[in-house]
Amino acid sequence: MTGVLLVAIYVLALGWFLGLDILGKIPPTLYAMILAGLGVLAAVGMVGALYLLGDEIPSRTEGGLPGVALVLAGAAAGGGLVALGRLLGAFRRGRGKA
Amino acid sequence: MAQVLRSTVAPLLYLVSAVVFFLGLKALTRVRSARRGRPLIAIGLLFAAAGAILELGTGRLAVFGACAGLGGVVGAIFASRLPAAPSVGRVAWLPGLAGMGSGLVAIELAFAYDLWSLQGAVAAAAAFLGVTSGYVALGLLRKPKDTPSNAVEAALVAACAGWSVALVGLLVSNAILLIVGGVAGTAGLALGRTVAAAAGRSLFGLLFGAVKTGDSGGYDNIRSCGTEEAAMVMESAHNVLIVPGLGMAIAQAQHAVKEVGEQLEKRGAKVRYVVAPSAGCIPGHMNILLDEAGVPHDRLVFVEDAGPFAKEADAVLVIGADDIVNVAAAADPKNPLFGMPALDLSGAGSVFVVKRSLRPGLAGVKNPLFEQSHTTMIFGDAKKVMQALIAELKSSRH
Repeated sequence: MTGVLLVAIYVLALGWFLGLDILGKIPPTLYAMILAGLGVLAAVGMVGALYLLGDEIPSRTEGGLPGVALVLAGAAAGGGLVALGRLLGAFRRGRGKA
Repeated sequence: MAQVLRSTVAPLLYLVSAVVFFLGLKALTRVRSARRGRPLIAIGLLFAAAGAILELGTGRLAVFGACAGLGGVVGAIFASRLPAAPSVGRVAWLPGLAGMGSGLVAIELAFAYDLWSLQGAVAAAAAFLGVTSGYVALGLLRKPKDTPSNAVEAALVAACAGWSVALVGLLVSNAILLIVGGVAGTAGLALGRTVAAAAGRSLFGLLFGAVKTGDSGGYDNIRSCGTEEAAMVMESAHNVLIVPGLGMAIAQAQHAVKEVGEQLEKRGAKVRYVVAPSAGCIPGHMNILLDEAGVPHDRLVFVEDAGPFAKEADAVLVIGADDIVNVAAAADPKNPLFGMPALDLSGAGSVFVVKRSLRPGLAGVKNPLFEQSHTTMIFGDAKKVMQALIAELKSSRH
């Protein structure tokens, strides 16, 4: 566990700086778009639910909670991608008027 | 064979997924590249899922596909009902759902481990963050108004969701969860900080300080943007109107203003400068300054004659002027500005108002133009904004 933990802490620390760097300067019109994008990023959490559906880690709810988690993460992913499309579309129209 | 796939191909898929995710997120942070962000993020998610299925075995593909697919369709339906330009609070449910999902996974993990072990504590923290994310997102659904504190809460929804995912990744030793969760978490926090800074507040101040300070000047429906966005609109405009005022004089921005005009003319735009005799400190102040900067006289239009130009303008750049574009005040007999010549910009395309703050102009009167839907504020010193605009215009030319 300690070896894995150490690597994990490295990865987290690097992720921390990457996250700060990527979002250093953003125009306000893109806030909603970035938030929808972050929703899709967080939807990779669905991978975590998969661990509970096999025999790696026992699921007390017989896969019930992980199943719901998969639905929620799927909704975040599908919804996020559709929302991004809508936001980008609105953006183009807004420019077209200009 | 299956073993080889698991130990080498799955990590590779994760790596590709992480890189593509970051490129997508990075693309979303710039106006010019935002369109590229969506397919990249979709591909990133696809690779992450493929890697996980490969690593964990295809046995659970059916359940995974059914559950995630169902969720995807439901989410897509709800997202398609969003308004065309939703506020930040209206999309917070997206990361909120992801956070809630991660929280549920963490709850199961907390049961699987001994709660008093390190794993148990991490699982409890992940569950707390995930559920908090979902709960705050739920609360935001009931707040239709887009205040700075709502926007910061929305960003924190993403931050909590991301960190919950990262902690789950720590528990199950999964690289993609750790990396992407960690980045989404910090990115959410960075977004919150940026949103707070745009409102002139600190993150902590917005979350925990109930007292509303800040000089909003009595305005509440203000949109602001950076020079990049303004440059994109202006460079595609055919008719541009520039309206200088006292702010240009104070910042000594006339040379920079002239250069912006020249850059736009190089792109084939017709540029006109609107001068009001009353603008500035002395009569004809704007004429003197623009003359000093070398703006040709045939580009100048007096404010009384500028009406037709305003109607056909695709883009208007108001630089440190306030009262001379305040038609409402000029038409109101009770107003100190009553009867002054003012330029009606309500029929123009996009209006960008460069101003240091929302403090009213010389006459101390609120300007309804700033709240109109086609108006965007660019806050800052006139000279600095013009120089940034010139840099953006130059960088976009090929």
